[in-house]
Amino acid sequence: MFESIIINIKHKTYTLDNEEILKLVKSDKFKYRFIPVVAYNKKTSGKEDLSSPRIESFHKMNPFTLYELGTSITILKNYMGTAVKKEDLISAKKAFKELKQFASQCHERVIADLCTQIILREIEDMAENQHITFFIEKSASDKILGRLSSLCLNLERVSICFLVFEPSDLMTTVMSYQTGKLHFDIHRLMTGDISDLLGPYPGDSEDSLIQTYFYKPPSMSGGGEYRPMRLDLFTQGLLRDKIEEKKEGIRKILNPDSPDKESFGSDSEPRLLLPYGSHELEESLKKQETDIMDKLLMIGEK
Amino acid sequence: MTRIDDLHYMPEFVKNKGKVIYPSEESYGNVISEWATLLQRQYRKGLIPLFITGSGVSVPVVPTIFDIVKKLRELYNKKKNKESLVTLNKDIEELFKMLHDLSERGKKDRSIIARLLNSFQENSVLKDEWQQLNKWLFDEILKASPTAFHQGLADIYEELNAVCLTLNFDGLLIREFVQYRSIVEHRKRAFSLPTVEECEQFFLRTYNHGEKESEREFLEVQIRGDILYIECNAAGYCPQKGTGKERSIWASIGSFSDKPDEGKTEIIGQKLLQCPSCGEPGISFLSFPGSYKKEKDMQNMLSIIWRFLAFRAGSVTVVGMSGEWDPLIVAFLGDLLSEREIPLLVVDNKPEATEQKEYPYIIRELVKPDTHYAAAVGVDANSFMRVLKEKLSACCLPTCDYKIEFNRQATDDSYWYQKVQSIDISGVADEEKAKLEYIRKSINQEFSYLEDNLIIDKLKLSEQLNRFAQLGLKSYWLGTKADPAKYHNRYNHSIGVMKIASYLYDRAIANSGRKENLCEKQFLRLAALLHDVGHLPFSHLIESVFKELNWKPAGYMESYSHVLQTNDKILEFFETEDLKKKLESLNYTVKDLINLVNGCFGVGYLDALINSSVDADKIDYVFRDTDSTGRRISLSPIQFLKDITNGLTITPESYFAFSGVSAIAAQQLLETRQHLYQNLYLQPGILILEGIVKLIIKTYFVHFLNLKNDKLLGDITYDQKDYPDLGDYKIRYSIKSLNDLLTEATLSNNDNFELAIVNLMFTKIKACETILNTSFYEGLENGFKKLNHINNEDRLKALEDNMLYKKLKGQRKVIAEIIRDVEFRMPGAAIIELRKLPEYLSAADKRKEIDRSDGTKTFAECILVPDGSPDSWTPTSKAAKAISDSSFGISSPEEHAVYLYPLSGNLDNSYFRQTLNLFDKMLNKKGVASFSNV
Repeated sequence: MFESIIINIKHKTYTLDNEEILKLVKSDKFKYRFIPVVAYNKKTSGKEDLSSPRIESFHKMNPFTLYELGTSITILKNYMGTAVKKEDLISAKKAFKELKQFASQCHERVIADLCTQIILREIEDMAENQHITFFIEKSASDKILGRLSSLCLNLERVSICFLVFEPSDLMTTVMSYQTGKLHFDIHRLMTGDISDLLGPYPGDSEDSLIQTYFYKPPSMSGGGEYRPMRLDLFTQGLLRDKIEEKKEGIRKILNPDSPDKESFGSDSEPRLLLPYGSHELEESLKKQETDIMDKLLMIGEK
Repeated sequence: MTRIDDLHYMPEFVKNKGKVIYPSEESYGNVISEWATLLQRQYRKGLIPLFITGSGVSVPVVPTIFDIVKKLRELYNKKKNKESLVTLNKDIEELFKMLHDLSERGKKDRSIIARLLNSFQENSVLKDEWQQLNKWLFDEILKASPTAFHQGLADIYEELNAVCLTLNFDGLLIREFVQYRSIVEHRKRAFSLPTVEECEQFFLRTYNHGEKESEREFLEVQIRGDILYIECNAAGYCPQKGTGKERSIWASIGSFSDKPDEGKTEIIGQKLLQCPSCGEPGISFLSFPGSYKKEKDMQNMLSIIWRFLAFRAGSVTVVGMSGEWDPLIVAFLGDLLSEREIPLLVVDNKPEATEQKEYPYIIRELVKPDTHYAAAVGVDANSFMRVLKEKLSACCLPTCDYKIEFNRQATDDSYWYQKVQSIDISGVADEEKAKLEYIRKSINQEFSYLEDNLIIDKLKLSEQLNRFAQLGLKSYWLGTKADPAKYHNRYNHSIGVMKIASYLYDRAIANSGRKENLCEKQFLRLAALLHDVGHLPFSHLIESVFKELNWKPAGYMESYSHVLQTNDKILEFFETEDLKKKLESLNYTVKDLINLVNGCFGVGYLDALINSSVDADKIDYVFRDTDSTGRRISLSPIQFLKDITNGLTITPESYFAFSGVSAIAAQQLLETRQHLYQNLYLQPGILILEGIVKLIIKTYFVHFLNLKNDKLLGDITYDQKDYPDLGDYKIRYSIKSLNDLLTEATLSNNDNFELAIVNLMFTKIKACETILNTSFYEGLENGFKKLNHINNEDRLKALEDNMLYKKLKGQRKVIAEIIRDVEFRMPGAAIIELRKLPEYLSAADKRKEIDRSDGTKTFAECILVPDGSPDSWTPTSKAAKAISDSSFGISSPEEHAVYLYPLSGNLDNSYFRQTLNLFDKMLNKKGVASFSNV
């Protein structure tokens, strides 16, 4: 009999807001700082043994200079692709906007590295009778998918699931390119009188790295709805029956009656259904915020 | 370490970096003194002092643009008064007013002046006034004599090989040479060149037979400032009439030998104006283009500068140019300073910023931000030149304090020794015998003190390079390791490269009538010896691994290169003061050595010998690897050594020129190298086996990476580099882990260390088998077994019989992405390798085309070859164009070879067939055509 372990992973990238950064601009030279942080906790399915959140970050790292006057165009093109012109970057505001986009890719890579390390470490430490389900909040970036794929993990006893809640993010990029049918499907899911785990979308190709499902949990027994969500299952090298098995495992965890879920939100609108412990992770990241922002400002003054 | 080692000798300059210094300050004299020493030091290395001059250097003797506007206003008012008009031309008056208003506010606007001048030129009513202005300007220029600055600069040209880029059209520097320095028997040859074609021809010139190096020619490049032209104005037909037939005045002004003193000005003026075809007097006119046209012309000229001149500069001195109207020059300089890491000194008469006035643009952009090694002096051009000349006269650099002798028997590698010793010269004709004797003597030169210290006393070099077979794992798979006579390691190869470089250098120096320079030769030999020290185990394969993992080093580099290690290793070799001092006594720094190894030192022929498309490295490995693997090629090593130097010279601009027989030999070498890549280095079996090695290394790296190594994280925290992500950390971690495995491998019985490392990696991967995808692990294990099983050509052939080949048409990047996606989706099913043959003309990374801030994108050249297609070259073809302009190996860039190998070993394996289907499906989806499937 397998012992089912659930690991929640949540990540956030802290940076000063735009205005704050622009205040730091001195003599056409500024540094863009960011500190990516990943928090995670762990519990055994059906047990009340939720671990305290653990935090991983690289706040010691040197922040990098995004742009300074006199920077070679070659370097700038490495940042942002060949379309950039040096004259576009004469004003610090313009430079900031252009380079922020590059910076967001950099912190996506750092987040991907941190998440992958946590997953690998937990898999290495797992006992023979265990099965681990990782829930990672937010959709899977190319970077994290690339890193996970390079590991070529044995997914027999491991499920990796990305959770997306924001209505605006529910549709995948691939779907955005497709016809209105999918729009209809999402619309139906959001408003229709259904409750199920639908998918995989947009196809069910067994060779896909990700299988996308939509989930609208059943209504609460005392009335009230749950928000629909998107589940992206990492399925590298898995066959159909195994994917189905994983899907059912996740349905079991995210069932409104499951002891491994929690929900929050107001009664007036659909509530958010999450794996148990997610809320605590959110709180722990909030607690970090003041400390991290102070660090960012301190680096800015150096 | 500072970026520029020469700055160690310039403490006062470094202290004043980013500042403006005035003559009243104590440091002023010291800074110029250090600058003078720098120019001399760099001259000894073969680098040139680059000067950029603006109107400020001719201010005392030639009208400025404001004088021209003032004159125009006078002429305009005179005409208006003469005709008693209130307004003659409303637009022109408006422009005069705008200029006046701007001047009141201490500002200027090039476009308004351009509009004003063009309005005069195009207005038929003001035709006489425009001609009067041009005549006045023409006369003023003719009357002008070179200033103290021009005289001093001419001295620096003669003594230190300076080159000047100028925005001026007065030709005063050239006049200084041609009119004031020429004597009847020896006329100075100096040119001010205004067009791209003329400049290119100048840079591409070679010595004619019988010419000597002492026949020097001096160049001033006119980078399209404003131009005074002469146009034929004959009434009837003249071939010189019409658009594009104008003659620039500065091009001919210097060629008049009469000194333009008072009485003769008129005569010279008439002569200059005279049309060379019809003899009628022409008219002069000023071309003052708008900013756009000017910058476009300037950009073309800067492309030529980047191709042929910029890399040779060791310092830049900008005099009398604020940069306000020439932002492109400032952009050019910004990139030049960053790319070449050279210092800049700006000389400006009135640089100080006030409440009304900012610093001049060039100081604002390049000095004040403190990002370059740049300072400014607030002094006029003539005074600066007087002090600089004084300091140059007082400067005395030490000479090499030890004798450079090659006195230890170079027995460490006998490949070339045996080649030349094996020739029977008994029955050979005398001339041929002399050639062979020369080769014997030159190629077998012994080790010097410095080489000995690097190799013997320190043993570092040999330890570093002895460990690895030159052919790496290929030597195991091809079975060459079994025969010690055929086996060679990186150390043998490095000595071979040193011998070849030394031999080619000797011949080129002799062919060009140059004096032998032992310091330079020693410097070259050291670079040759150290050219491979940066390679990690697995050499270029490890670069591909980091690239495929998309791990990027700090500093926003596109991908990891062994060059990064080369720099560190060379610094490590020269960490002892004794060796460093010995190198500095040759007049070179460690940074110079690193630059030469990277092919970007700046002296064309040295860079060409060490890191170029036809360098000593390629010559050595082509012959050595061919012999070692029994591959057949049409070149014979001794004949090649004779041929490659038959016509090899060094040009006046220090490029390597392959003419006649040497050009044909160079072409044959490139053909042979390409042949070896197809049939040896990247033959399908080798490609697949290397694909398996990459997969094992990648799996090892991603599984054993530890993101919490405090030591490495500490390094990242405290050094000054920029780290956008963890790529650099991961690379450092992996290199460290690779070196640890190497240490472990040296203890194993396997004498191919790279194979031993792969075995160790696989053992560690095997220990975590349970966490790996089962199909992936099975495939990896099968692949691993092949790596050890294949140890001769027959087994390699059997592997090649069991793979698929596809010829694809599409973008390389797209195909590479598809392959990555397929391998991710079907782990362990197949090795899919996209073959990338090297470019025919490989070039040092730093010399490759890059986009620059001034809008240019060019190679930096160092080799010249004959014109026309290489197939048409004959023994009499003379070097006439840059090698990158030749038509070597032009092939369809859209065609790609892909090889697929089933890791199960069975082409009919269902998992492999499924993978193949997915690959085809994805190729089809992305529009990649597959037109051959074997």
